[in-house]
This record gives sequence, structure tokens and C-alpha cells, in this order.
Amino acid sequence: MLVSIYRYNPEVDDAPYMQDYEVELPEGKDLMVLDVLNLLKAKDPSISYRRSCREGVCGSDGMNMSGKNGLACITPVSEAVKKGKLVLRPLPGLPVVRDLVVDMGQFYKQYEKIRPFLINDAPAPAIERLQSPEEREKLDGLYECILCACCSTACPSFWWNPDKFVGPSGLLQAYRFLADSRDTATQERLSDLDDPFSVFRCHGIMNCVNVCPKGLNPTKAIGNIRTMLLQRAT
Amino acid sequence: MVIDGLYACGEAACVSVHGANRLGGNSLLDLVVFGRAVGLHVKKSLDEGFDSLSANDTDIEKAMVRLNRLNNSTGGESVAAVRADLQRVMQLYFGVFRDGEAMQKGLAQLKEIRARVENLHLEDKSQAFNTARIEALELENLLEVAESTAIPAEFRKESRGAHARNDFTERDDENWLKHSLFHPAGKNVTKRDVNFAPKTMEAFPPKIRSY
Repeated sequence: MLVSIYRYNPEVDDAPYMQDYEVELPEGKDLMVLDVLNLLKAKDPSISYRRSCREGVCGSDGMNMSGKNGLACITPVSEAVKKGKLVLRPLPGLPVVRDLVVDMGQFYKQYEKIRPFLINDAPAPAIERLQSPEEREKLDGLYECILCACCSTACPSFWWNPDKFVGPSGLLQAYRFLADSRDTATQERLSDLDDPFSVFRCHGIMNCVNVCPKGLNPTKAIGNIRTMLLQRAT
Repeated sequence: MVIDGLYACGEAACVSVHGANRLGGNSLLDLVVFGRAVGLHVKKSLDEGFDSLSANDTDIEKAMVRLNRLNNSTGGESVAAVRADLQRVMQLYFGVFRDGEAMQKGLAQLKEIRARVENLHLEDKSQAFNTARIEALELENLLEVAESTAIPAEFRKESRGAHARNDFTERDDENWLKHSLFHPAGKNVTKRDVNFAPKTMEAFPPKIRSY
């Protein structure tokens, strides 16, 4: 199989280029894209990419595979190959550090902005802050985000305004705390988001939903934040 | 020796609640009980202040020698080849079912791998996000972990928990109700007593686990 990989080492390359590799795949076995990268790295150790858990939990190996963002470790080659060729590129829209490794700084900055932690100034009870099963259920589909950045880097609005639009990942997490019955900073959180860019640059393109490796729905969360903001305004 | 300010967490912590091996589910207790205990301890230490050891020239020299050997390598074996052999040896001789004779063979092969790890070649000398260098350093660490798994496994002449030996199939509380302490410098193992001192509730007496 032909694998085409985006290569760029700032120390030696003036510009990025695509390098083609031929790889022997074992018969009758559908490898994951990460397995293919590991096979290639054994031959060419200079190919650079992040990876850790190799099972879709850590979110390190987000990349663009034949045009679609996803985690290399849980994407079967059969799904990612287009016309007999596997094309691997870094996540779009973020600065490339080297090969498939991007600088996640911009992405983390947006995450930090939404204050991704429980805010509750009431003294902690002796045991724990309780929640009813129904209240807890509201966090399903929100807390599972692993911050792989597949969604935000698939979002044209984030490409245009990575400094001002929080992006699907950050907004999903913003809503995770807005929806948490134990969090008492709802109004401040909404005030932080109440400007033309932070939330309202989302145009419902739904690329985020299309690529999320955990099957989450940032667009829906963003819709809920909009509703909260609008209800508050009236 | 207790080193103030040095904490181990996660898989490395080994607080031995369920014995020495970390099976699935043990992590929960580690998180909930010891996560809290560590958090409280760290806060207390920071509030009270503590003397942390600073690295001396010998420490720095040692670390630099390790790094420079790779950075200045001009020939030798590839990381991928040696790592594949390390994986094979550990899978074959120190897997789920263990056997004294096989483990002896495995230990001999680990010695050969040790020599090869000392002769690794780092082709990619780049300073830009060099994962090849990280993998070479990781391989050295993997071998340390492999040895600390393999040598005590051979040392422990019984079956217990996930340590299942074909040549010692029974659990032996008389001789082996002990922690194995591995000393990497001399690559030897010593035994340490298990702490059964009850704090707030009676300890559960150890017993054979059968289904």
C-alpha cells in the first residue's frame, strides 16, 4: 500500500513536502493507521508523530487521514485509504512543529479560557457534593471529551478566528460546566462567552460532529449555550 | 530513604493494597484513597516547606553522558530492532505462565539485550520534536522495567496472583508472604515483610483465591 506523509523539519526544510512510502500490510488483518505509522517509523525513525495509549483514550494521535480528522490508533486502514492510498497530514489550522506534530498552544488557550473546572465557593461538605442521577445524566456526552483537537481543527470558524472563537472542543467543555448542578458560576461563565466571537462564530457546519472520535456532539452543546445566552438577555 | 518532595503516582506507586501487582480495578482504590491522601500530603508539605535535594554535578554529568552517547553515536543498532527483541523475550519467557528454566533462558537473553542497548544508534540528531531520541531513551527505560520484572519473577519460587509458575504451582505463604524488593544497581532481590498492622479496621487475613 502507498502511504503519503506530510514531512516538515524546520531545521532542514524550507517548505513542507509529501513523502511517499510503500508498506507491506499483513494479509487478512485490518491494521489501524497508527500501526502503519509504527511500521514505517521502524524503517525511517525520522517520521514524527505523537502517540501514547494506542487505544483512543489519550487523544495524542489526532491527525488528518485522507482528508478527515481522527485518531490514528482507532481508525482502521480500510476506512482511511482512498483510491489505494493513505494520505497522512497534521491536524489542519494549527502551526506545524514537525511532520504530523502540531503546536496545540492555541487550542489549549481556548480550553483554559472557559475555566474547565468546577467552581463552587460553598464550603465542601464532609463527604462529597451530591448530585441526583438525573442531574448527573446531563453531563453524559460532555465529560467524555479527550481534547484530541480533531473537532476544533476541522472547524472553518476556528481556522479563521483561533484566537477569538472558543471552538467546538472548548465550548463543549464550557457547556459541561454550565450544565453541572454543582457549579455555581453559571452567570459569570455566560458573561465570559457573551460577545460576537466566543460562541456566535459557530455557523452550525457540524464538521466537529462528523469527526469526533468519541461520538460527541459539540454543535448541540453550542446550541444549548446560545439558548442560555439568549434567555438571559431577554 | 525517604526523599522529601519526590512522589510516585500511577502504575509506579505500588502502595500494595492488593498485593504487588496492579490488576484492573485496583486503580480505583489508588485514585480515590491515595489520590486524596497524596493531595493532602503535598499541600501540607508545601505549606510547611521542605528541603529538596538539588542535583549535583555528578547527577548532571550522569544524565548528560546518557544523552550524549546517543547524540554522538555514529553507528550501532536501530532502536526498533532491539525493542522488538525485548518485546519478544518478555512475551515468551515472562508472560502469563512462567517456568524456572524458561526464565533462566530469558534472563540470559536480557543480558545480551543490555549489551545491545548500550550500543544503540540514533540516526536522527534533530533538535525539533525528536521522537526517535525519545524512543531510544524509552527503550533504555523499558529494559530497566523488564529487568525489574524478570529478575524478581525468577526469584519468587511460588505462584501468587498474576504470577503463575508451572514449576511452583502453589501459593506459599510461609516463605513468600513478602514484598520483592529489586535493587537495580546490583540487580539483586531482597524480601520485605508485608505490613498487616491494622489502622482503623482489622486487616483481612490473606487466603487462597479460588473460583
